[in-house]
Amino acid sequence: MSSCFVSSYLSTKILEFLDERMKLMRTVNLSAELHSPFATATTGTPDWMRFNLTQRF
Amino acid sequence: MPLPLVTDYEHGISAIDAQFHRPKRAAIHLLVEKGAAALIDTGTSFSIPGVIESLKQKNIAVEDVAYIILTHIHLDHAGGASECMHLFPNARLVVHPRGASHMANPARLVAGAMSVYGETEFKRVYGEIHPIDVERIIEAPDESRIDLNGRSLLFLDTPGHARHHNCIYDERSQSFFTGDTFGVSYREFDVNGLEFVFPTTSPVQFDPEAAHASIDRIMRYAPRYAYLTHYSQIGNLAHHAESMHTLIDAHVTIAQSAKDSGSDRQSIISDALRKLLLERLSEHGCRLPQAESDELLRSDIRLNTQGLIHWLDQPADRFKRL
Repeated sequence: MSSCFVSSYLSTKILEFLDERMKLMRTVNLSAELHSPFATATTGTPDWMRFNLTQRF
Repeated sequence: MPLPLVTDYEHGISAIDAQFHRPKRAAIHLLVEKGAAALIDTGTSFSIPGVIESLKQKNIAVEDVAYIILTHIHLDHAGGASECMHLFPNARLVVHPRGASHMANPARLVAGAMSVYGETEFKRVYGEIHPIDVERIIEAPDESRIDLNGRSLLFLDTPGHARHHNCIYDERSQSFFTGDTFGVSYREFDVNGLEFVFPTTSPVQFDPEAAHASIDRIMRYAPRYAYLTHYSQIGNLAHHAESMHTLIDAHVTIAQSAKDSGSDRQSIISDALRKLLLERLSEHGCRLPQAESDELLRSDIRLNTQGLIHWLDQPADRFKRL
């Protein structure tokens, strides 16, 4: 086996591994989305609220 | 002469009387921003004709109602939600994540209430409750927000009364819509502009530790007013927050003192709550005849007693395990 073949083989395996990881991540994300059938309101504290809270405290 | 259905405040905020059991027992709050409207809590399905009448008086079309917001899913707050969604074609329902599935499929919610009230009484008080289309429901987790025509409303997860409870901060008016988290306050008890506020510990999720924390969290925003579902606008919030803390502790002390009283628990707790609230009302300067105060407090004392007994019967770490 040439070193070129080994390198190519490993690269392929690494790509396959990464692809599997990506698939897994996509599945996990999809599961999270499917867990709730409802739309979600925007999350996180808006800038105006941070400003106001700072002012008031 | 009948009491007016609508009370108007500043910043496009109004209280519509839900006509729940008696006048001014439960409010449906209306927010109007540049022609778009949101309702906060709905009363029961029997409250909705009054909402329609109020919108007509204000020249607001049913198509202009953008949001039906629920502080929590107890049926005096959410019982009219499905009727609202039927009548307001462009509205979306905004609800705590723990409550969303019960609005889409209210079978368990209805069965639970029917087991308490019986089918006939349930239908007499709450009417019909139907499933709401999942596509029209928005979950509002802690610190989420919605936009009403440029007016931002911030949702805070505020357990204590119920674990599916949000309080809504309106930046425009610097006020909170507090559902039942900041207690109840009937206008009949007002004395010289100062309100009387007391906690609601109704079944089945009263959690005193969380109730204290939620009140403190609300007060960190230094709100000008709180709009309570029972009943509407109160000021003097620093005073009332302190009073709520004291009264929550007093409720807990009363419950714990009756813990080992067996079948007498209910009457011991109920009598002690009545004594506590009547004494506090007297200190507050309320001069209503006692029979009238009793009548106004009767239902809350009954529910608070039931909630405290349920709380006593739970393991100490109940909420930490969930």
